Amino acid sequence: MEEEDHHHRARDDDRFGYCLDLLRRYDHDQFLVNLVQPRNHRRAHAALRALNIELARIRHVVTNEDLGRLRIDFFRQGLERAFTATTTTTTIPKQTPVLDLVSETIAQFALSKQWFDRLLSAREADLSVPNFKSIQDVEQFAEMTQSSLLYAYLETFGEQLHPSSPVYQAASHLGRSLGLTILLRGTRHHIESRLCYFPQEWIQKYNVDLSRHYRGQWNESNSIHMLQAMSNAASSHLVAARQYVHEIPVDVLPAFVSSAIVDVYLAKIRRYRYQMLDPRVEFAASLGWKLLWNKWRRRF
Amino acid sequence: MSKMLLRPVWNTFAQLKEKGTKQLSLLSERSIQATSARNFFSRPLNEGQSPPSSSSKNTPQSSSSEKVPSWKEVMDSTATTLFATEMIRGLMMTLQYFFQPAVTLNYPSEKGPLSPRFRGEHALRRYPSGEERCIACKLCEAICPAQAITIEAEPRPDGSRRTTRYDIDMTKCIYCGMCQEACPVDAIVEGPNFEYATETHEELLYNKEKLLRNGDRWETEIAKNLEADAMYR
Repeated sequence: MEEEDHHHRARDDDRFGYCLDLLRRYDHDQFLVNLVQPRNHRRAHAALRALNIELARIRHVVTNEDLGRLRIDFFRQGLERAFTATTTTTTIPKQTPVLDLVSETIAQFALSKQWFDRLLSAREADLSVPNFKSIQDVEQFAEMTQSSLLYAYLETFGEQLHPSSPVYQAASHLGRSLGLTILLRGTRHHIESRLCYFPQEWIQKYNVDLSRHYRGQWNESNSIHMLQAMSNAASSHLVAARQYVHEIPVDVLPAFVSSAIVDVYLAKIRRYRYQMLDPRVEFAASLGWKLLWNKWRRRF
Repeated sequence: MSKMLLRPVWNTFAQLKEKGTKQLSLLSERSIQATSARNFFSRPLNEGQSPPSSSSKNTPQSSSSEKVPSWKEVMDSTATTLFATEMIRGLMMTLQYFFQPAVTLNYPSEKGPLSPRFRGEHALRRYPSGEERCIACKLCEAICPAQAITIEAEPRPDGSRRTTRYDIDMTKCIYCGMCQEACPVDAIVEGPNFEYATETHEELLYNKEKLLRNGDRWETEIAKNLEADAMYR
């Protein structure tokens, strides 16, 4: 019996190890965030972020939108099975390490389904060429991806989230600023495949020459104004999130340490004057220290 | 009859006279002359040729009033032909390439670069724990336009679904890569191997063992090729 239990735990650690390995390779920032999470929540954090990686990677792998939908449907069905298993007492058959760990998290912390639905629908919409009308649409995308993950993670701390609570508000703003920062940081990778995550209204307002933007000539194409506006939007959302810092229970604060990602990368981008092709913009050695410092200070 | 035979010789003389160049060719047709090796390295092809509207070519008699080549020019053109300077120039070119590094590959021992998206021989991958990735969702079987994949599956005692049979007919496969795009767990991939020619048709009917063995052999390369650098959305 004891041996079986030991065996069971070893196999569970396989899943956690696999998710951590995914984080380390594809999403190193969140891997560092995972390291400073409380011990009981690390598995949940790794599961949610690994699911995000699996969903966001689909766009890279697939040449055809419909094939991408097939893949997303696979994850949708897997999550569906996990949620039906929580209401009935059926056991979930083993699927993949990521889905298994997510199902385990869902069952353990009784997460609500809506966050996962929002994440899936945002990722599914993102399979086509991004075409955002206004900055609100971009923020909506950021909210549906990053904030949804934050909401789901906050539920593992036993938070009851409703839109008026300060925790929800703070997570909403932090998720938006995180999402905008990630899009801003990814500009040089988006232009490789001629994608533009900036809204149409800014392209018209700043009179941006898109063909030069895709060649990375930020100054000549006027897109430097867009980059500035995006980073300003991200930092204003972070400021808005920090207004709630005193109303958030102390034991929930580790969920918010990812604000350091926004701080560090926006500072880098500004320091190199929005020259996004500069490889130094992408790496921030100070992120790990900053996360530890924030955790120790109990702030975000 | 004799007039027809003489005509090329007449033309040659006329050209030599009107151009005053070193060209001395027994071939009088312009098209052949234009591509002859004589002009190939030394000067542009149409340099020194008379414009097509020149009437002197068709009437050799009228050219008698033009400049007669000097003895020096005749000697030069004769020397060019006799000492075969073009031959030496061509051999110099050969010598030059002899000392430059080779652009060809010594194939079986040297291999050219491959794109990370190269679609070669199929492989079934495993998780680091040794468990096979394929969960028998049959998406690859459904998407395959050549219907080269055959899957049979049944649940294991612990409830997980795995394949009992996974066959790919490599002679049907068109290497479109749809199977690896459709696979939600990255189990079936088209690896970087392209050297798997066989002597019989039967050897190209791959079964699950063969595919898993491919996966074990090529896992390092496959994992490296699949890896994107980071998350940007």
